[in-house]
Amino acid sequence: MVFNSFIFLIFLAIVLIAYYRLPRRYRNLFLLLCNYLFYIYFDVRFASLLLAITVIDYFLAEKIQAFSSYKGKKRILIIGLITNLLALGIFKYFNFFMDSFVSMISIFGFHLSYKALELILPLGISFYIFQSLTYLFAIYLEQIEEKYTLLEFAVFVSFFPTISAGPIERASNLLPQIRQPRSFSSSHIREGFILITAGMFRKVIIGDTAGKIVDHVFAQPQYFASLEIIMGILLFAVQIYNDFAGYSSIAKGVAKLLGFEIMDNFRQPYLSRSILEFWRRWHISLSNWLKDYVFKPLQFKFRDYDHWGNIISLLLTFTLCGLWHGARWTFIIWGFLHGFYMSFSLLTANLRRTIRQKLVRSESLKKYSQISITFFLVTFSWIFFKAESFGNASVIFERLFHWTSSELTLRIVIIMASYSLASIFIDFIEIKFQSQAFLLCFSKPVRTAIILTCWTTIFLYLFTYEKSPFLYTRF
Amino acid sequence: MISEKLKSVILKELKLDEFDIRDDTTADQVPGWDSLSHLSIIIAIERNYGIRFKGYEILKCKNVGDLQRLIDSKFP
Amino acid sequence: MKTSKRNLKSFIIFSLTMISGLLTVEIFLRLTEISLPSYVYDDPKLGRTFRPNAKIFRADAEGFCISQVNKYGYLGKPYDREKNRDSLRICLVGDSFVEGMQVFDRNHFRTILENELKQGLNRNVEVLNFGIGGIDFRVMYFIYSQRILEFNPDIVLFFVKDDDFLSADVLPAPEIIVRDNELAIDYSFLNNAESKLRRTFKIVRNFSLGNLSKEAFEQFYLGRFWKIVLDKMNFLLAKGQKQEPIHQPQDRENDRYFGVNTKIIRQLDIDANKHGTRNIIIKVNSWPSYYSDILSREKIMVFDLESELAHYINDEIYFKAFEEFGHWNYFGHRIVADYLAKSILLLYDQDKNCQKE
Repeated sequence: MVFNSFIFLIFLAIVLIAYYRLPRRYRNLFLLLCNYLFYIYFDVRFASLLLAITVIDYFLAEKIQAFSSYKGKKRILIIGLITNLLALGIFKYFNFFMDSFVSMISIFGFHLSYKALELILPLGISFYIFQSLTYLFAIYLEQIEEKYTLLEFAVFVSFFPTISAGPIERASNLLPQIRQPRSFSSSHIREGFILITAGMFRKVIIGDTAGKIVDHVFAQPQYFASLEIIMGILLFAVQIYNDFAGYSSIAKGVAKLLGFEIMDNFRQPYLSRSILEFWRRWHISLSNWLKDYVFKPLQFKFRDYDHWGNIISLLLTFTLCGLWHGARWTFIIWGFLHGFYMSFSLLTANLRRTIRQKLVRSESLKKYSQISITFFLVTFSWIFFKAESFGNASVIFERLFHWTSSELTLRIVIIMASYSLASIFIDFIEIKFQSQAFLLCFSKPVRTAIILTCWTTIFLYLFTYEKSPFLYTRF
Repeated sequence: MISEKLKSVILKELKLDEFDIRDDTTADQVPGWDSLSHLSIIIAIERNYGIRFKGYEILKCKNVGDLQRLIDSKFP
Repeated sequence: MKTSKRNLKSFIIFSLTMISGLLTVEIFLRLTEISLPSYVYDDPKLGRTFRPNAKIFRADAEGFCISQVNKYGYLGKPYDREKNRDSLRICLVGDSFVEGMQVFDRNHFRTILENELKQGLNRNVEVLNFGIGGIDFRVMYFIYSQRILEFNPDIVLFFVKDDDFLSADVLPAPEIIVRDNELAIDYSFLNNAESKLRRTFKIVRNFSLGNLSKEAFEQFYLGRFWKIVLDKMNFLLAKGQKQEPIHQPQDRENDRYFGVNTKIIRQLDIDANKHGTRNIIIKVNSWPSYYSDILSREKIMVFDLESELAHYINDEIYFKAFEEFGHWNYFGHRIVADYLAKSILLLYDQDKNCQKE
């Protein structure tokens, strides 16, 4: 079930009541059952894959611990990586690689026919496999000393607040919490509920609504005027942020209701002053994962090549980031583009600093121009992220560069401005109060009124809207 | 105990005049020590001491104390 | 004493925040056009009709439309009642297929037709869209006689589907009936159940939040509540909500509107001669054959759009926007416009040939 649905809210309410009534020692087992129920509701077919990955990874981790030599540990880790990534690769990328391979060799005149695997993507596979791998890495790097049971590990891998769309939690953060007895705390309940409210509002009222326009513009860009295309792109930037950040807030809130503290996944990323900063504030769990387990090892391997070592590492890591999002060339281009941005930024750091010092006097002008440029670069890259194919992207660029005017200009501008301002406004309040649960800082009558207003609007919209699944559950 | 040599290599790479680096100091506690400068510090140590690290060894280091012990282990 | 004062203060703060909160949401919904005040209202003389100058915003599975009702209360470019003698004016009437809120006006067959005819006939052409969702053939005649004729059309195209002949519009509209063997208008629609329900929501629908509430309530009214709330678990409650198949009479005896429809068709011929308009029926899908017989007997011209659309059913860019309702997509609008342009140009060619003779 998606978070933005009545059935999930009912499920959550039932789970919470039972969870806190059960004696503490049964809570993990009950949580495991709920995790699998949640997963099975989405799709019963792949629950066995989830279970298989869990068991395999648990025993591989045991083997790593059993070996005392570094060579032995490394061998098992590599087996683990291959197994997990193979599972991920087959379900997610098999057809994509085969298609690309076939078209590539057809250039040389060879024709290969293969049977495309009629495989459907298992829910959250990219998330739970990455989450499970953090355990293998942590054991390998001796970051975890305690021995965890299969039950505890299984709860960790299938953890329902994070399984469908992250944040990709670390074993070293979540497993100790699973081991700890969790008692009922009304402040947790309050904060959790507020986080869910904030997340639902962002996701449903800003993200899903903007998404309706975006989907239509991107589906048939040839029928829209240039300004309308710009609206589609800008609203996609608004949608993907509010949709994903909202969903992550809900995940954090749900976890909190259960007594868990999970990481923030977003920190007002569109207010970043550089691409480097953007990746510290956008999808933080994924970028940290890639930094720790892909970038740092690569960077270390290529350390003899100075700048070029860094650049190769950046390009490879970000391309992989693109590929993680899906089996599509446009995702890879998006990732590579960010790798390019980062490399360019690295190479020209000194030059840009000198230019800035010469040209820009005021601090605030500097700040706003940096934010604007960064936002522009990110939004430009979103075109590739959203477009289904090169063809789709090229139609969009064509509509942008051959300027056609729109008779709806005023309305389009107002729509763009309203969505953007709403999103930025919430960002500013979050920054001011240093928290997504800023409603806690307001007095009780004010807080209650705002919560009531939010939920009224959310409920009305949920009743009328044809369900909009979270963008990232396709991953 | 963190040797003066190690301390000076780190401070020089980070362009810091003075910072209290101890056994339990971690990277995020030191200003400017991010993923990119981390590598230049490692490279500087390798060059200064004439040693070569394995990736696994560096990843296992949780703080500067671990790093010091790792360096020491290269000189039996 | 102190607690009750504090409680009162809390309540006042709560109420003020609630009001400002709802106001903020209302403004947000309007500016982003997520939900707009209703673009239709129930006029005592016209029934359910468009509110002049109302903004329209629709984005759903079938299509995307940002548009506005013009100042005269119909769709598309506003043309005055007075017509320039050199212009060719065509008026369209029909249900949601003609309303066409699945595409922007620039991609609507109205606009494409206008441009194609301008080129083909080398004169100014004006196409006025009087389509509105949910109406039947009798309401179409009402709109024709009470509103379209004021605009002095040269040609009026009636887009008729089988259910337009055979069933009745549930939305409030004046009824064309036969009284004393003549056509007459019955304005009692304002007293039926549907109208009464709509009246309770009347004020509410002038607000975005209100309109959103009305749509939410509609889901409940249409029996979709449990499906939405329980999703896949719906099987627990629903006892298989069977859809009553719309009973389509296949013969004249069971067709309760046969009498009225026939009279209207006859009247269309009379009106055409009286007002100097050309009244053409566009056959959108399959009717009972006895209607075709009557139309040819009364010498009303019929354009067979159904056959034209049938060519494209196996096409990759299938013309129906969405299986469930089948409204036309971008491709569909293009096909319809091309077909109508071709047919009308042919008509004018034939006229020219007749005149020569």
